[in-house]
Amino acid sequence: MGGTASGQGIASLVERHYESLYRYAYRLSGGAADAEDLTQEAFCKAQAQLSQLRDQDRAKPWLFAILRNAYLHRARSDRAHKQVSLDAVGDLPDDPPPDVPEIGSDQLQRALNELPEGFRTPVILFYFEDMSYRDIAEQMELPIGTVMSRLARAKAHLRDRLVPSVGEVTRGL
Amino acid sequence: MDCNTARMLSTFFGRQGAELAPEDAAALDAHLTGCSKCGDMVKFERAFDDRVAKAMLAVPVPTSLKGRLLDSVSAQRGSWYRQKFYALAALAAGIIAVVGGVVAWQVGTAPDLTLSEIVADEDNKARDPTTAEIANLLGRRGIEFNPERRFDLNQLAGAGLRDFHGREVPCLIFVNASKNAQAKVYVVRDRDFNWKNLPQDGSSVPSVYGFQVAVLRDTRRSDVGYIVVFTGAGLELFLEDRSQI
Repeated sequence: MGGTASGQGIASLVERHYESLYRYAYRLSGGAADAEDLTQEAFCKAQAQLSQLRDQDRAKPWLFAILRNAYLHRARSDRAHKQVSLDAVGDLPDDPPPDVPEIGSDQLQRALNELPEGFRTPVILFYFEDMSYRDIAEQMELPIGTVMSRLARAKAHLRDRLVPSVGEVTRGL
Repeated sequence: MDCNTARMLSTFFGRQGAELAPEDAAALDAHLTGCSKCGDMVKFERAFDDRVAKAMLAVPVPTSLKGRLLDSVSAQRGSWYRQKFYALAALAAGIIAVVGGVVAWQVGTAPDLTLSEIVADEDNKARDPTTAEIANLLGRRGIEFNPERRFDLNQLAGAGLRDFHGREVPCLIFVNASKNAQAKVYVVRDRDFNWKNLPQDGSSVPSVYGFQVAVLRDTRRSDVGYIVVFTGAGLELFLEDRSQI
């Protein structure tokens, strides 16, 4: 760190990415207060490591990775979320309902909170950032096949929770 | 393409639409056009994705968040500068303490001077100035002047540190004025040179100006030697006992 250049650099990153980062933090942690703490921690860490960011075009995934690491660090000592087993989640429904209902933000968050972090993160990145499987795999440092598998199961869980008729069908299987 | 393959590919289609190879995407499209069941399923899947994506982004961002974030990174930067300042200040204080300590140690360990020692030293110099000069020069290196042949100290013309083959060593200069001859006696230790390799039988090599070399041992210390470079008929010209060489 050091100098005005660093100050301008981090201020510019805050300006451009704070909203995305906050939303990502919110979806990861499930609460506004935790999201704000995580966002602040991520930018402070980014400021301390700013010299490591060589390509400005990669700033956003870099910040996301910092934030996720900060979240994981906290999550290790705070296992407050009640997580469900994904063993019972179903595949795509054979007879899907004709309409998909509107999904509320809080409703979605409750379903996300039930997912283990390893499944929650890819599904957030998939929907939230429109990231490709390859980008998610890079972000999580996982093989792409693992990401696809986790994503499929996490989406199945969301379908079960958020589209009641699908949940009834798959739970009845 | 059968329905199972179509459903599997649909699962991996991805929201960017570019996750499938072009030929797989084309084959999937062809199947979906002709299979209403799979078409409904994929339609549902994409509608579900859109709903979830919309809900995913529906996180209100606090209006004052940006200001708080900028304040916190600014405060962290200020804290960093303060830490740097304190670290430098601590370093400077450490250096000052060390330098002060060294000076204090030097002052504390400086030898005392007494009037009686000063007077006695000057008495010695006045009584035997040559011996005192040699003792003073060699004493700095912990050496006493005890060559196996006794030099005629009345011939001593000078004493000091001289460069000898790249090293500074004590050197005594003797002059025999009546024979127009001169000898330089370099006092060396093992740690200065491997001087014991020199021939000590009086042999020499031809010299343009008539220089010869003799090597003498110290009578008390095996690590100390005397390399004498001289002119004239022989080393005897500079010795007290001229019958031995």
